Amino acid sequence: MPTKQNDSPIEAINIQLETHCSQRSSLPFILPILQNLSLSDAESSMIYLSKKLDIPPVEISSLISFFNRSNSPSGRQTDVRLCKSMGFHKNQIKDIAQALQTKLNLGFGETSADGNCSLRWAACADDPQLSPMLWVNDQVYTQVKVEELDEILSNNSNQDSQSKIMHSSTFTDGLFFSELKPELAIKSILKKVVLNPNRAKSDVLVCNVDEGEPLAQKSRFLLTKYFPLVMEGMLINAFVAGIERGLIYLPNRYGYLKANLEHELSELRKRNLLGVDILGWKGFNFDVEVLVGLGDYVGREESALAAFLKGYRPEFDARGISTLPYRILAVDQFLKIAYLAANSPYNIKNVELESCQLPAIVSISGDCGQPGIYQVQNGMRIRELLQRVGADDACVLQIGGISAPLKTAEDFDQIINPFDLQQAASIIVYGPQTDLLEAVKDILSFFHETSCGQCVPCRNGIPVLMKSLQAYAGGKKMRPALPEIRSLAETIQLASKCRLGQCAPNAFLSVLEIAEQDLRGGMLA
Amino acid sequence: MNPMKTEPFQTPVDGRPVEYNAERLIDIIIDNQPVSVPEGITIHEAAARMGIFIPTLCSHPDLHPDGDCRVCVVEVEGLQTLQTSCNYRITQPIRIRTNSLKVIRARENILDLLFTKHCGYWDFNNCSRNGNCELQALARFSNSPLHLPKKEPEIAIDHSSYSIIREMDKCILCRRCVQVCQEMQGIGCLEVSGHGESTYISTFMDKPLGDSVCINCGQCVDRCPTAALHTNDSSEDVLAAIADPRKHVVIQTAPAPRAAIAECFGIEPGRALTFELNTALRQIGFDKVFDTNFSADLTILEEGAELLERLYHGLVLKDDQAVFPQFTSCSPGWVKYLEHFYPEMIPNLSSAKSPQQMFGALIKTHYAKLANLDPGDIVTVALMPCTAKKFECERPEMASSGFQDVDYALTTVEMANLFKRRGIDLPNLEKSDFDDPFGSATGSGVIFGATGGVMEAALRTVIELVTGDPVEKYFSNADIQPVRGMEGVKKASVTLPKTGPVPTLLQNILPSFDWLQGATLKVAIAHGIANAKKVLDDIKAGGEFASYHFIEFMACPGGCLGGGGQPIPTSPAIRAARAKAIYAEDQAYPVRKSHENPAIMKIYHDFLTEGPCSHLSHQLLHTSYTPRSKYSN
Ligand code: SF4
Ligand code: FES
Repeated sequence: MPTKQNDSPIEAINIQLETHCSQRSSLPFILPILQNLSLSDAESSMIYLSKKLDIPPVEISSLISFFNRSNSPSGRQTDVRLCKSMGFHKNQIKDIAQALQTKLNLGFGETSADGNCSLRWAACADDPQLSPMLWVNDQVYTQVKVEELDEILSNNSNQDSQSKIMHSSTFTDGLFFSELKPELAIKSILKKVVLNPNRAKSDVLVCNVDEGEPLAQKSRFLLTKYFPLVMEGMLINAFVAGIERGLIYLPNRYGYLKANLEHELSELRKRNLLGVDILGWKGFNFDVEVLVGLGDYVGREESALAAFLKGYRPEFDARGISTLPYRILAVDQFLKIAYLAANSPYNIKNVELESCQLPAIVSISGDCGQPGIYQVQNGMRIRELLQRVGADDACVLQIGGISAPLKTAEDFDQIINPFDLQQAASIIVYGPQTDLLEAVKDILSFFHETSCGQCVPCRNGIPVLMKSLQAYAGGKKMRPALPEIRSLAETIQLASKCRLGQCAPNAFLSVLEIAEQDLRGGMLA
Repeated sequence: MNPMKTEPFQTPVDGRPVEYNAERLIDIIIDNQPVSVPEGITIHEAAARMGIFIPTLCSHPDLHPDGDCRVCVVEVEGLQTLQTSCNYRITQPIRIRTNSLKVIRARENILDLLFTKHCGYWDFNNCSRNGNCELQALARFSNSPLHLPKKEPEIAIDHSSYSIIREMDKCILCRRCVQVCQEMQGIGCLEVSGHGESTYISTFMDKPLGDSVCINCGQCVDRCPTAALHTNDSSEDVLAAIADPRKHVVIQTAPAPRAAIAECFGIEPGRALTFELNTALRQIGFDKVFDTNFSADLTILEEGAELLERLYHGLVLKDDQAVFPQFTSCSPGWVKYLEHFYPEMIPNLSSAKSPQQMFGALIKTHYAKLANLDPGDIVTVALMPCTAKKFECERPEMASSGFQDVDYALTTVEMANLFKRRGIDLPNLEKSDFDDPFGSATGSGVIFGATGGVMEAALRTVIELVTGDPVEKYFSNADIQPVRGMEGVKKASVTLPKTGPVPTLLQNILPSFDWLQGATLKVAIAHGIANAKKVLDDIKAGGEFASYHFIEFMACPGGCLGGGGQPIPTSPAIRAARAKAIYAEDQAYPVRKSHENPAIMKIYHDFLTEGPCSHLSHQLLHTSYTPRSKYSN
């Protein structure tokens, strides 16, 4: 089996402290070192860190605990995680799960008695095409078959997943920037734009690859497919704002991309597209590093991501922590910047404004013939889009990802509202073969797992919704009764602190409504 | 000439800073009533000014409102979601509804969710906060629409600390304790852990509180809306001792509880019940009731003498063991803080025990002899504003007479609960006096209860002993105003224009005062650990406080009157009212200087015959300290 290395934690910590100036913001780079230590090593390392950073040790343990999804520690030698894949390929995943449990003699969420091996569910890897996806420590395997499990677990597999992922065959629409020639935009900017005299040197430009919810795979896809262009967008932004430090933030579930990205970054450095005096321009310095987060979906809210990057608990909308000095943009925003720069370099300062005019880029997944990345023009109707993606038999869909309410056939003549795509640039299609109640269960449990726990309605209300849905799906009597549960769901929408809680009951409420209509129409006995 | 000068220093840290702009008025409409309010005011406060009450839970007058509980939601026209009134600041004309159906439903549902997460809700008869629980008080806004199942206790109660009990099944995650511990006290013992539904409040590595860096100040107890954090109540043990005919049970009462206990009986803050309390304690069955002020006066003499001795050793004898500034040592939370976080500064701490402990030691020695009692049969109890006093009682070094100095410390709240359980109507009792031989005390002892009080008492005595002049010559009515007030850090300096002969009391330790002629004594006062930390860091960095001579530190904001065992709730206004009561009591005493207390003179004559800081006083009245780790107890 591929085993983890066990270097001295203090040494590893020191290296990170040194590269990140011994500030609290070095914590995100250091915590992965602590995550898999034995309790006593973790304690002494945290005490060491607390001395170095001059913060109470409990703030470090609390930050780590934010990301602990289960109570059992990850296996010291082997940590196996299977991606749930949010409702897709359910049968294959069930088979693999069964086989893993037998082979490892462990249930999900369990660690072997000697602490060496653990089996867990992983966050959805957002690319249904590649599932079932399996992680063994840091190694990722895609489209895994039961027959391959022995090889994989004994580290003899020669699956070349990295390149599969980097060149995944996701369908792409003709995206407006895809014809852009690399280096064109940056060169015209360097020629035409004067360097910002108020250089924001201490700022950090962050490329946020965390989409904030499962199945929204746009950012990951665009980053891997158009990496040079994304970097160019970052460069241009950095040049215009005078920023010298860049960060690519990968959520934990995309951690497998890190090695590849780092390799490509070093290629860029060789070509002087990163580093000092970029492209021969004196004083134009910019470099980028890759950070893999401790968990997932923190990038959903800028405030939470900024808090995490500063070394605080990534609580959504937590007051008192400003996002500065981090300037956080999503992957496609950099692409748009590159595109705008190539076309109208003089307007580059209004880039945020201008980019709103460009078509939205969304990922479409679910029960459709051709899931992938699409460009949604202003004014496009839902039905048109469904035809394009080969989903003529769609019953229900979510515009704006799993946070959105469900749209049913009667809505299909509506125009797609770009505002709906703001929270998540993702559209999910449900065909007749999908059990909606099951899907909503998965959705609620996603919000349940992702809730930061600050505010009461989201923290304590979502579990009540989940229980009642279980009862409902099982044909049992709901407690609280339907009107009360609906009122609670509305309270969660109205009174939660951040968008996550406010969106959580959307699908749930829609499903209740659909079910009720069915009842009235006598379709559901 | 007034030899005292003060400089403005320090941000106002006690309480929330005013964040609104009274210059600019904004027209808003609340529940259909138009009104003009200053820019930046919160909706909650604006509504309160109009007599509209919006229930709150997580916000607290001492803390920043984070808006986590969502109980205080209101509707702001034009916004899709409800807004939390506790932290929504008004910056433009808006229309607000505080009681629309939307608001009421949301609030009821939220309260219901909270109740189901709070174990005490079904068991309030057994709860120390019954009748004073902020969650319970909200029950009238709920109609329990969700009928959720009740929560069974599942988390073991943490009894590990001498001072504070954590009952996390009652925690509703308002996070006040975390804010208090991190920001007001700068300790960082508590923090939020986990996430989502499994969020909980934890210590480092989930250690029991008794093994953590907790300094026992109890500020979190004071801010906890429920009984998730409460004091480790030993009143049952005290009652058992009283019931035991062989035991002679005496109690001392400190000034801060006396100034505040009335609040537990529904009386506005600011009325002291000192003498009613004596009657009540006798009704409970205490054999003797003593006044902690007596030993506060004693502390002033011991600590003042130590200061003069230290100055003499440092300035005249050039002894480098004599380090400055000297720190006061009567706040046990502060002492433990220093032991944990600045152990290298332990030599700066005065070796004098706190008044509570000095009294205990005297009771088990001097008093036992006078009353012809076996010290083993005496049980000493102390009524204190402080949770850390419970820990202080148990310090192993606090038994130099061979008997534990103080057996039990009860807090103000615990005592009030005891009275209530016994049906004692404290505010309406007859007044009665303290018992001899320690008798009535001085105004100096009384003001120990407020921040700056120890310093004021010490200055009154030191100035008179050194100059031979009455202190009134320098400060009218002996009120040393510059050291009073609620500023986080206060500074003052006193130039001693002349010196007199060394009084007999101090002749054993000092040959003369000539070397103090014209000297300027620099003193400072810090309360609340966050302020103490600023001063300590300044000293470490060789800043201005490094040149000071004497600094009073109190762990709690406002000093003892804001202690963790004081009545709940607390707020800057409540603490100010308690301070007023304390200074009023000071005025009422005929004797207001520790060294003029006849009982003190008598004890130095009869018992501690060699004077302050002598061998015997060192054995009984002074102590030593233990360096501790920054990471565990
Ligand atoms: S809504 Fe949920 S995720 Fe957002 S602040 Fe509240 S608890 Fe956190
Ligand atoms: S009191 Fe306003 S959110 Fe808790």
